[in-house]
Amino acid sequence: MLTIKDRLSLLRTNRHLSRTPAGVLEAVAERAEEIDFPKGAVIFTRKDPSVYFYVLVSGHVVHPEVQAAEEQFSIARATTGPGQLFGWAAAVEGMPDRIISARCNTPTKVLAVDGKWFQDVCSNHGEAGLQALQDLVRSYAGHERSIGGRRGWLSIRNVQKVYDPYGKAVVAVDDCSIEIRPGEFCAIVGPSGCGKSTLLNAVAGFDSITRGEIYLDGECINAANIKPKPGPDRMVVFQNGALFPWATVLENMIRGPIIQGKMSKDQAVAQARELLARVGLGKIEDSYPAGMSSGMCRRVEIIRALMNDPRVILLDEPFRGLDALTKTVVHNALLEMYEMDRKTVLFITHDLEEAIYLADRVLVMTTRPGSIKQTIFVDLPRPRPTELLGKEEFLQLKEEAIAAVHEEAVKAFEAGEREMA
Amino acid sequence: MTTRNEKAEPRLALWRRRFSSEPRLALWRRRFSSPVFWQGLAGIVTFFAVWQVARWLGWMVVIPSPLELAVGVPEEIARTGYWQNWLDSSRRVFAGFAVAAVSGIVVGAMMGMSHRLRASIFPLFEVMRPIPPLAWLPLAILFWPTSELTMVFLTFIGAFFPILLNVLAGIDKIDPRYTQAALSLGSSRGALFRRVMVPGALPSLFTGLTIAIGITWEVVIAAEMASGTNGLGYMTWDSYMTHSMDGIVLGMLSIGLAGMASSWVMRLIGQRATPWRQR
Repeated sequence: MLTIKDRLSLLRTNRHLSRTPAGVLEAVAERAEEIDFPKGAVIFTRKDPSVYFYVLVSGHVVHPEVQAAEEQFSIARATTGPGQLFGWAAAVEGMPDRIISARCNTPTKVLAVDGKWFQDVCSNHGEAGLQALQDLVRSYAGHERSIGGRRGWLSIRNVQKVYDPYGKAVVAVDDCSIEIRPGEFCAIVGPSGCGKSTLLNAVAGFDSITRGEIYLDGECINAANIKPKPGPDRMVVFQNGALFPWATVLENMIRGPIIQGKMSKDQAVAQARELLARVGLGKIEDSYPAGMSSGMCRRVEIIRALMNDPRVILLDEPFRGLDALTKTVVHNALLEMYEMDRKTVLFITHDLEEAIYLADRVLVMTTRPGSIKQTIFVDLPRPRPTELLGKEEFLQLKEEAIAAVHEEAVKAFEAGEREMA
Repeated sequence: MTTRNEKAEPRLALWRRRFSSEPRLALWRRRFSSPVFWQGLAGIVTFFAVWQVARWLGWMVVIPSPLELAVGVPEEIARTGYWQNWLDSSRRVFAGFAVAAVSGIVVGAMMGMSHRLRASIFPLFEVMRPIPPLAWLPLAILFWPTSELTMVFLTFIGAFFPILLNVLAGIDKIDPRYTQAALSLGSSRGALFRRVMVPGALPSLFTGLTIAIGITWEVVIAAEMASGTNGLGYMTWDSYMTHSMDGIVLGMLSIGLAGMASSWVMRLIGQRATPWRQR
């Protein structure tokens, strides 16, 4: 048995854990379970739900799935050094499934820590605790991309955007950090004018930022002092729809892949027809957008985005201005398309109910300057039927979220009053 | 939806579908059964009726009555040179209009794409625009070697600014979302111009062209009266000089018809070129 003091000194050698604020490590040292595994034992395998993360005390653990080590994301083919961390999927919000396995090559002693508990401890330690968690998530997402082969890891780091139109600086977004894992459906909710759309425009590459960086799959797509470039790897579905009114539905669909040289015209037409037919819009390929209902336009726009095989789909309040019934139809269409091919989705909205219904994770954004205030993890199974909207667990999540947003709305209102005064 | 050959649906078929109108007979039947058509006709008939009655009552004795015109006008038309006048005026109108359209579109598009160019040219145009085309006449007569070129130049001046301004307005009016969407789809600058700027500005361009062609007729008539030796404007003026009332009225009617017909053709082309605006 290790003493608390031994454990503590072991934990301090880890570069992730040592960044946590004072108090966290002590709690971890106290809470951690000491487990011995014999040679050849499997600590966890792929696709296991992740509950614990581990700190190696002694021994040799291998991860056969890892093809190449990536120093940048702390990915190694084996865990050998005392104090090294592995299996930290458990420390990531939403507790994703394991993407690698861990097998003991020699008799091995580890400290096991409950991931959910660790997240709570960190969040209770303010800014520094959250920062430490963020680092872990970042590493994990990088991991997921390079080992799981999944694309669409969006990493928004300390982004700030100051508008300066008439000499009076307006801070729209300040110190905003978000990690979105490949294939995750992430919603950002906040009151009007909190900088949600600014953030989305920065990710899309329509707008520059004044501080921070934005990475897509480890590649910098926007940073201070560079002119960002929009591209087909990030497709945007706009607030009021942006199907070209002068092109038919089919022409709208095939334009992107042809321009990018990804497909020949015949291929593009064939795929567009197939996609349209799959979502039940086969009959309208020769219509112009002006002759279609707004709900239909939005659905076409979403599949136009899918046609381009983007890494991230950016939805900028796409359901604004639709009536309730149409909205439900389009929601379901969106969920269906998400199920077809789990692309990473960043979804901006001011409607909480819709955010919870659609997303895996709902981030509540503060008002000016905008940054993330609270995270609501939506642990509802997919596919999600419409009846879910009336279920107890859904309503409870909704209440939680409303409380969080309400506080922000009041603050924004008061700030507005101050500005007026 | 009929099944069709996957390969046989290239651009040509798409265009053919766009440009084919409904069967001619059905179109006319629809037109004749519409109250709008009969109301328009009734308006024209009433106008001539009131005119005729006024003459019977002994008013407006200077002007020939419609019944007198019905006899006199065909005689005027039958005179040699009438159709030649149409040709002469039309030639000037279309020459000036064509040059104005091409230059207006090119300059307008360039100004729409480049803010710097726009900032440097626009103020100059703002000064020149309010100068009526006829105010250019003295200078144009001195400058251009022939009166033909003078008249074409004046029609050009009349048509250029409405076309230019409408092209500019059309480009300005394009929603930035479309530009952003096109950029997201991976469009180059050239593709952005071809696929977004051009179709986006087309409706406004055709508004400009329709206005401009009306103005060219106004200008060409005035120019012909002032410095021409043929054409519909000259014919009208000549009729005045020779005290032919029928000739004056015929000239006016011809000019009206010519203007109307060209605007109508322009609108028709505009509708065909922007099929997405038809519901």
